[in-house]
Amino acid sequence: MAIAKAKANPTKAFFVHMITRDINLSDCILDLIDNSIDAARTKSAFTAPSLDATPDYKPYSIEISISKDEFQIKDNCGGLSLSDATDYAFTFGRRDDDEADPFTIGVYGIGMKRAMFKLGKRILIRSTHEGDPSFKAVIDVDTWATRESKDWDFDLEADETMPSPGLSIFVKDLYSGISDEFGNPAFLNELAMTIKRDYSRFINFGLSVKLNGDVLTASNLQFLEGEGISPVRETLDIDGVTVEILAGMAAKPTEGNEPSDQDPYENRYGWYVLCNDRVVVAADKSEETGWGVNGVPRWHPQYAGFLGILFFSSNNAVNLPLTTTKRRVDQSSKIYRQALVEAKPMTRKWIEYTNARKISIDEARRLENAATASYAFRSNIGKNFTLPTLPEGRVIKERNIAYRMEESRIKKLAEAFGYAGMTAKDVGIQSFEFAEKEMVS
Amino acid sequence: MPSFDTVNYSIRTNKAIQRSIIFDSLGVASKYLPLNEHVYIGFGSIWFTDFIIAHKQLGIQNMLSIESNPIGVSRARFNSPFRTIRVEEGHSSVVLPKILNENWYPGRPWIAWLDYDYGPDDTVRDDIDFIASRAPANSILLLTVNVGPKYLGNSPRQREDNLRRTFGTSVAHDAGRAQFDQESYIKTTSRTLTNYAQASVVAAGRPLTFVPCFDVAYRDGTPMLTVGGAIANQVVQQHLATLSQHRTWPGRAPNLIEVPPLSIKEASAMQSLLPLGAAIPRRDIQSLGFDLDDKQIAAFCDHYTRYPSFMQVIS
Repeated sequence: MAIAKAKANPTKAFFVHMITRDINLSDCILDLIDNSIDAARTKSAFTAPSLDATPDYKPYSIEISISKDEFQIKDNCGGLSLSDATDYAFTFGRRDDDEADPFTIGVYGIGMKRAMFKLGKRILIRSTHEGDPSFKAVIDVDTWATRESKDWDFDLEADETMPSPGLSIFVKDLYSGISDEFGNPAFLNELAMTIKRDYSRFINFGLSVKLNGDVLTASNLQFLEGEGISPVRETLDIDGVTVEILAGMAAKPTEGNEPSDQDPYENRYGWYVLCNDRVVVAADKSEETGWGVNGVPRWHPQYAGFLGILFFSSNNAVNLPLTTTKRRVDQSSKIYRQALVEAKPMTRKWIEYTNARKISIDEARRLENAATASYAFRSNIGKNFTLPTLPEGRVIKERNIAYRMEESRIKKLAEAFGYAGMTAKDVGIQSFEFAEKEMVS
Repeated sequence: MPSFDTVNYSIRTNKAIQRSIIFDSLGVASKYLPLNEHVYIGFGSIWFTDFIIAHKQLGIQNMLSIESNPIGVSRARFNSPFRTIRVEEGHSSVVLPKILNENWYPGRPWIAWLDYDYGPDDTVRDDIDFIASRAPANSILLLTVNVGPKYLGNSPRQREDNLRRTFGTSVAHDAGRAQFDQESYIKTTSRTLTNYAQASVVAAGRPLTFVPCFDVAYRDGTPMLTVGGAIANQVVQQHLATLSQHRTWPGRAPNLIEVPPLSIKEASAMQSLLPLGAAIPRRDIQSLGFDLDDKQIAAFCDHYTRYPSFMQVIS
């Protein structure tokens, strides 16, 4: 028989500290964008995401303003109803009786709170929802955290109606590390590039996303086609989750092993994982998407140019293989593991091609250069992943010449050849050709 | 281009104008920052022109000249104009950590003007990172890089690839190919280097902010770019941010400085028509008995107060 109860409730300060530690700043902002998109999707009752679907996001817009002093995100995506706000939206973690709207991306009911608490200490949330009184919540985090420990609730007050139904979140009194990053142009550039890439599907469907007044355009993924090159598409249904797997050549592979030989856009290649249209993992080259495990070699710059897409869609976000940060996949998900099995031969095929092209490099380059790029998310992609068949009979025997040289000497020679930015490999080739011309020809 | 328009490298007219702009700016900044307490770090070569101005104009005493060429070191030591200049052999990436380890004037802020004769490559990037993370608070960082085709590339594609490869997300997300064309790439490079310096200070996690103050491009044959700013604490940051945004701040030149080499007679004759509030009409130059194109006239009118006397001797 129990004689007493040991207290086990978390303190608010500890809870807030804990949930905000495990997510980085950009991902918090993406969480808020996800909320807006989920609201739009629910409002318009869009059907299942698929390669053929063309949901109309044109009526919707999201505006983000970031400065060293404050953060603001506002949308016209429908807002929160008073009852949703009262019962669900502000709870830490999704309540059991909160049924997820179909085909959304929010699963855990933590994103908005975590983002706000991550950013700063003074928070204002305003909502206007059709058929509901508008309301606002003003949160002073320090005061809230030191209030009576059992009282986790936030006061909702009547507010003026905003011009169109939507949600606005303002955060002031930013934490100093957050303020530093918000004043860092490289952070803002990276955030813009991430939004352009990870929400490219929604932007292509008409969603307007602005960052500090700039309209962000979609960074589209593309496959090369023609000259014996074509991407592959495979469709699976695993436990009610639709999985589309697309893979192909996005660009010709890198040649050379020196850092200066690397493709400056290498960060675009690798596997992408999308859940209900949202990019969860981008350009991944790790074990998470099968590189370096189960007989697949680890990523090497030689494999640059490969693009693979794992596209999951489900009417219940709980079935999607994503973690709470929405920036990783849940590798214990059976659905995800089964999809990876299907993806593996595509990765291997690309690796084999990058090896094969080395011995017939001129022909490979000719064909690759003649191929044309087209949008990757299409349903009219065949079931065969084809890459150029290179003529074995015409192979000229080649040998590698490799030697190390002081970097400053390589740079000086590159300058002498007329362009200091020349790769080490090209300096080597030009040196050989120069010597051959002078001494052999 | 006619031969009289080609650059006399021993004089380097536009380099002198740029140097004058930078030191005039530092002079203005010294209202809020006691720059005579700073130490000056640069690549003095055997001429030490900037060192001499730093001492005479700003009152800086302790200086370090970095010289990577072994013969250059002995010539630099021979030519050093003041006893307070220390000449160190090696690349900046080696010498800067060395002086920090030695506690050379510990805590005294730097004016580090790294005037490279090559392009914005990974060694420049690494120097920015080092200074951003280690230079004492309220140091000034100035970078001059060669932005000619030999270093950044001939085509927009090469320039973009080079900058993105070296400076990653510091290249603006919305910079399309057009931002790397002949008309725009110097501005894009300037913005990228400035962004990188800002990002590098943030990445170092110090309670300091990089305040961009300098952006001057000039051409004596090959185009060169000088960018920089202060790695400032909160108080200095507020002063410098206001000061450097003011319309009278000299540290930003909106256009490439490309004043043609002129004879003393030509320069004096043109100067006698200034100030005018606008460029001298070309017909007025023709009335003087010679001719220049409109762009050359405008460049001279913009910078005539800093146009160097060819006979000037600095010792």
